[in-house]
Amino acid sequence: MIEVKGLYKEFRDKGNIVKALKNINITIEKGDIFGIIGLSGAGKSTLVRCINRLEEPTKGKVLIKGQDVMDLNASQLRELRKKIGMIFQHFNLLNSRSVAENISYPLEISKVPKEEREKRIDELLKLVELEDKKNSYPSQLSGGQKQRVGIARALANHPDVLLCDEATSALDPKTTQSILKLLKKINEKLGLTIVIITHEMEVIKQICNKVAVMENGEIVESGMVSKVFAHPKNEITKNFVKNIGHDIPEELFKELGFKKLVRLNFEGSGASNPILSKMIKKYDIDANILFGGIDHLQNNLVGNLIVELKGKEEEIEKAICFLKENEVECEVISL
Amino acid sequence: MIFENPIGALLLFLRETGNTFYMVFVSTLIAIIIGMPIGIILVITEKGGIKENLKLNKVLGTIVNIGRSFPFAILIIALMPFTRLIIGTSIGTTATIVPLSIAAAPFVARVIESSIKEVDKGIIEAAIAMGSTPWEIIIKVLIPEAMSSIILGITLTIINLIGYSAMAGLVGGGGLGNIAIQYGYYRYDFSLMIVTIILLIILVQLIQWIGNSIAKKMNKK
Ligand SMILES: Nc1ncnc2c1ncn2[C@@H]1O[C@H](COP(=O)(O)OP(=O)(O)O)[C@@H](O)[C@H]1O
Ligand SMILES: [Mg+2]
Repeated sequence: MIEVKGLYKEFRDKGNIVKALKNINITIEKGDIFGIIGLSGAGKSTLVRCINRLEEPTKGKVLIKGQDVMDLNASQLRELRKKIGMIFQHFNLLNSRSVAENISYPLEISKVPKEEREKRIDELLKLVELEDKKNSYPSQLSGGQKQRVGIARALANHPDVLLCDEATSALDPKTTQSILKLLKKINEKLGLTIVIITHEMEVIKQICNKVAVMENGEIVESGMVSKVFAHPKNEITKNFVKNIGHDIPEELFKELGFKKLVRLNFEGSGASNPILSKMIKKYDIDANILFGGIDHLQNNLVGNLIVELKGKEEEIEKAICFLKENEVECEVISL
Repeated sequence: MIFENPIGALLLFLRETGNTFYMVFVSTLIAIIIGMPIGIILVITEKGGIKENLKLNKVLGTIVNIGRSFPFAILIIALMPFTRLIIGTSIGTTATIVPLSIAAAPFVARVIESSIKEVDKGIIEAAIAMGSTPWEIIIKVLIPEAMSSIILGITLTIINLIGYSAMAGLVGGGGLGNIAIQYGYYRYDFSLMIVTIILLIILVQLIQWIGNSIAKKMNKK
């Protein structure tokens, strides 16, 4: 569906060259909800903006359904953009237009006749559950409602892809949930491919099936969400995983005076197998579960535990080996 | 005069208020027709605009600045040959419309420019991302989104033009300014002058009030 190959983007800013994207390669398949996560300034927005050429890449290819967007002239590019929906952190609705008129905009510029527009607007309002706000103005809506209008507007011309740039970052957690649910529904119902940019792990965890982790203009890790987050390799990815919430503040570790702390990550069958109790039976040690939980990431179980191991040093070593043999990732947390 | 010939005074005021309206509104209209496209072009050709063209931007900007730096009294005199060419005379109510329009056009251009610049960049970007042509962005996004602020700017233009038109009355234009010079200055009839001033104040208040109301109604923010 979307292939990004060897993409570079440099900004010239008063003589300085900012390398915002460095050799980006991603493949997004039809029906994917593809998450791009990274800290602020990592280059996420620049990357999606290259997909619909809001930003001109410095080098590289962006193929959409096999068509290189760099080969398109101005009017072909406009036609392509009509088939790529986009939603934004700050919604970017037209303040002078009502909800219905906002949704009408993309239909107007696609020269859809009036009666058909009316019909489509009603369909979309139903889809995003905003029928009662049809004639309201954006200023009369809550953030979540504005984003629903944004989504309806983005879907008006039956796009192939929906790009979401921090679409939930300005919303409270509860509203975020409802918007993510809506996106998931659209993905399932319409088979729409969705690209989601975020700095929030929750968003990825909730709805993405694939993820790319970005840092300093590069993709440092990517793949299926359950794989990437069950076995985070990169420091930045580990930090995002920690942010799901199974972690104790470091000060607390020190205060409580634990000796040997181990972080365990496991997925799939590992999460449902009683590996820990087997380990305790097999070796002469005690395990004290301090913190953790098991998450559902796209129908896949992912466990993340912090355990204190008590016992002789060599027994602990053996126990850790045992865990590793059983495909549990162990990380000794040094204090 | 008010006391000896109240009906004559009333007719005089009616006629000259009508003339003021005529001059101000026709020249506002012409100023908008000239200034609006210039203002829009100034925005879209600036750095990062939807039709960036720094050279054209610079040239237009300079022309607008030159137009704005002319004191109005000098503009009237400087434009006299031109006015005579297109109107046939350089004095009178209709002739005054020429310098009034030319004085107001650069002002309108800047008003439109600054109003449109206030439009949220994110909204423009959304319009681009939806596949809008530059023309669609101007007509369907920039102007409607800036409308409330444009109305306020045009209200200000009208009020300025009322002041200018009174000044034009001094050098042979019609309107309320003409009463002030004819009766107040040449004939020392201060009662007429005071009425003129009161009328001008009411006129300005009224237009400001109408402008504010329309702008408020347009503002959906
Ligand atoms: N128009 C621009 N001009 C100069 N630098 C830019 C521009 N846009 C983005 N950048 C720089 O590119 C880098 C990546 O930005 P961005 O893609 O917005 O990051 P993210 O969306 O991950 O927060 C940042 O260092 C940012 O300062
Ligand atoms: Mg961003």
